[in-house]
Amino acid sequence: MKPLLLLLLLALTACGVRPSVPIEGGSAPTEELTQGPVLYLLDGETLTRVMRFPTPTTPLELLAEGPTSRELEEGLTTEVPPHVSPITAVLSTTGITVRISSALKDLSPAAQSQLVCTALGQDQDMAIEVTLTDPTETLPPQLCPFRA
Amino acid sequence: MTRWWGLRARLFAAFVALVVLTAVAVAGAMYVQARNEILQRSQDAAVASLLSGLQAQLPLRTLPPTDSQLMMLAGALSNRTDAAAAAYGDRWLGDLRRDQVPAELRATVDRGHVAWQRIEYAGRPGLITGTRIGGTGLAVYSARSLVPEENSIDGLAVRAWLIGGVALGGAILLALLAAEGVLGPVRELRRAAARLGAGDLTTRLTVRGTDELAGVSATFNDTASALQHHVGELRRMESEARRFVADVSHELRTPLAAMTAVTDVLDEEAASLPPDAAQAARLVSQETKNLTRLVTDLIEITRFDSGRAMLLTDEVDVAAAVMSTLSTRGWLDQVETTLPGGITARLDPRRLDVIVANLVGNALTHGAAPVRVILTAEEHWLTIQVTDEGPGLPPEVLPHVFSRFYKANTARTRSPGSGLGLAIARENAHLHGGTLTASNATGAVFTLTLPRGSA
Repeated sequence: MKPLLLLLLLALTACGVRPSVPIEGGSAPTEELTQGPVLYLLDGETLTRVMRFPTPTTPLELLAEGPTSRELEEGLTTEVPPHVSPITAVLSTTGITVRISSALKDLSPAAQSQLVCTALGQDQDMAIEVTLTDPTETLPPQLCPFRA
Repeated sequence: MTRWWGLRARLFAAFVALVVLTAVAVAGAMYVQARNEILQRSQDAAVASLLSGLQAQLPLRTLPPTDSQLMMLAGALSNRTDAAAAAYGDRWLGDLRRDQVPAELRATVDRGHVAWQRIEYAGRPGLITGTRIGGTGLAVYSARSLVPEENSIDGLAVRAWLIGGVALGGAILLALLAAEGVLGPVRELRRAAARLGAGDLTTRLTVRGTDELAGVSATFNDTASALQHHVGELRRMESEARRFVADVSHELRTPLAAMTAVTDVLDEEAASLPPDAAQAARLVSQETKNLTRLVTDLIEITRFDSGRAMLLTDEVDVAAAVMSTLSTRGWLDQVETTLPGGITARLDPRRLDVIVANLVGNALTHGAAPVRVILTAEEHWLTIQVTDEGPGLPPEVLPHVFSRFYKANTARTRSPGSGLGLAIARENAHLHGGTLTASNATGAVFTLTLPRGSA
């Protein structure tokens, strides 16, 4: 008689939909940023990643052009002056070297970070060091401070 | 007790237990399986819907996302059935409130997993699904009601109970049928055994089928046949023995008649014989009389045994009949009588005479004076009691006093009686439909009770 009672108990307690503990279902998806250029603007003082529609212009040149009107509406700003253009990035075994046309000393730390992170682009390999250089001067290599 | 927990109850219980066990096992397993399947599907659908909805919103235009972006994301994920929220750091936007999402689910999602949890909200079951977007710190949650799933699961349960109930009903019916199939033959067997026990040796069962019960029936029939054969054999032997006794008695009668005639002559001549010869002649004469009486009693008792004894009834004045018996044998002065007149009955006067003579004779021979004969009568019965004031009947003799050739005193082997007197007296009483019993009071008491017949 005992197994019968046990079965009955089981049948009665297994009824309906009961609350559960959290159930894990694999790892979370990651976003794939293959569609367009990625550049970094400022939201107040926070470094902000911004996606743009695909265009032949390099991300660094786009950064030099400043926020679009829609980005301005959302409160995004830049501290990179337009006259850093023309601006180029060269990939080497030690990292990326970014050469700007204006003087480095005119750039605020935030502007430097914007340039460093934008140079890394969508690869987002934050371990790669970026060296900023102007016609006269070269800064020490920097890491992108952006953290999601 | 045995009746209540009988074969029917046991069969019934076994069937019902079997069905309940089977129904619970099958329906229970199916129910749990179906329920898990339904929940699994619903959870999978929720996760797929969340991920595909999310995928359409990626990549994020800006990171960190602005409030309006979070709002848009939550709005895109919520629809008619789902409430959604997007969270970034401390910010939480959407129509799903943060306190509606359990903290442990948020912790699991923050560890980088797609996760879901069934919750109860306002008494109704719900499912919350959440995921992070890898590398952005953004998490989204979506909640939907599980009420439709609960309804279909409840429907399943109701159907399982219903089917179980119907199966139980069927099982009860089957159990009753099966019990009847077994109990019918068993009842028949019991009736037949009772009939056999009551003496109907021709009782036989109809053997149906080839199962164990049919085997029992066949064995019963064989046993009854054997019994009938043996009993028949015994009866035949008994009747042969009786016939032999009857034949011997009859054959002895003729020579005995001749011998009696001779001994009568010897008795008369005894006085003129020398003393030794005279004693021998008287002894032969006495033993011949005893033998004649024994043979007469034997013939009488074989008539009873063979059922040939007949009642020749007549309207009899009982007091007069008893007085006539006593006077014929010359006992009137030795017996005290209480014989009220006017008591009549339909009796066989010869047999009444045999009984009374036997009882009074016994009392006179074995008991002690005074011997009394008392007649009483009711509407339908009359009673004749013969009492004496002797030592009475010893208790060990009392049950056997009417047995044939039973001798109360083994030392006194030679008694004038044949040893059949009381047996014949009782047979005569039975032939009238009456009784004859023996007991002890001041001495031995023999009580004869006879129906008064139509009188």
